[in-house]
Amino acid sequence: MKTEEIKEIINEEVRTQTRGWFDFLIKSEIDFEGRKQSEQIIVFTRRHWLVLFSPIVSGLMASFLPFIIIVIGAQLLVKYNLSGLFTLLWIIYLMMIWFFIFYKLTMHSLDTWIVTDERIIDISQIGLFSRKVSELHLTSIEDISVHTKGVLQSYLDFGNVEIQTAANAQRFLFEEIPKPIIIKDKIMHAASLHNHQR
Amino acid sequence: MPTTPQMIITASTLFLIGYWTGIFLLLYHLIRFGIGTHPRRIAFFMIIISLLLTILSVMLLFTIK
Repeated sequence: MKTEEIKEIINEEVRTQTRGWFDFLIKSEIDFEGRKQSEQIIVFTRRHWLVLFSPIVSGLMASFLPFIIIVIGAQLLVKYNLSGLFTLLWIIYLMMIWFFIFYKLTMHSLDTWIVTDERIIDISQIGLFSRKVSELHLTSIEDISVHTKGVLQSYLDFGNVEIQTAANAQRFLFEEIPKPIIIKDKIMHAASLHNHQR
Repeated sequence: MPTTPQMIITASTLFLIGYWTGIFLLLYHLIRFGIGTHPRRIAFFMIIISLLLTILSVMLLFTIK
């Protein structure tokens, strides 16, 4: 082995071992509670980002509403020396809007679907104090269907994937996920592999 | 009878306590149940923006005449 190659290997080792302050924002293995050691994650998905578009845009637009008060009542604010109080109220109003946006982001981030080589896990975060985790073994899958509705879902390639289980009443729904057809194919492939192995 | 500045300070303090309780709850959920880097990024930006807004509001609170 050449010296340069050895140096490169050492550098690579140093790069991978050195932990920066903000590494937790970039590097992470996808892991979840109750994962078996041998279990491989095949699909990990959340709702499409467009679901967040409406609350974020409306929140950002609402944060500029106080400008209207400034335009209309600037003279009154100066006359009664209320500009300081008004700015404080504006900041408090901004904090409320940011809280609303972060709440939506948190709910979006915690609402996930995981497909492993053994099972499908549906984690639904309904509210801050309401969480539902459902599980389905790949052997129970009867059929899978994909639903895309409307112009946006068709063009941006997102939609619902519905998994029908052996039990008639039970069904699994992946809601508004990106690339639903690819995910459906991956689930079908994983299910057939799992059934062959048994 | 409390004066107007005292009332403003009390109301703002109560609001900040409520706000940070809510932020703490969101952070707890993101760290406890979050999977992957996405929740961590949200938590990180949430802390930064909340801290900035809190500092700004406290500064304004003490400059009101």
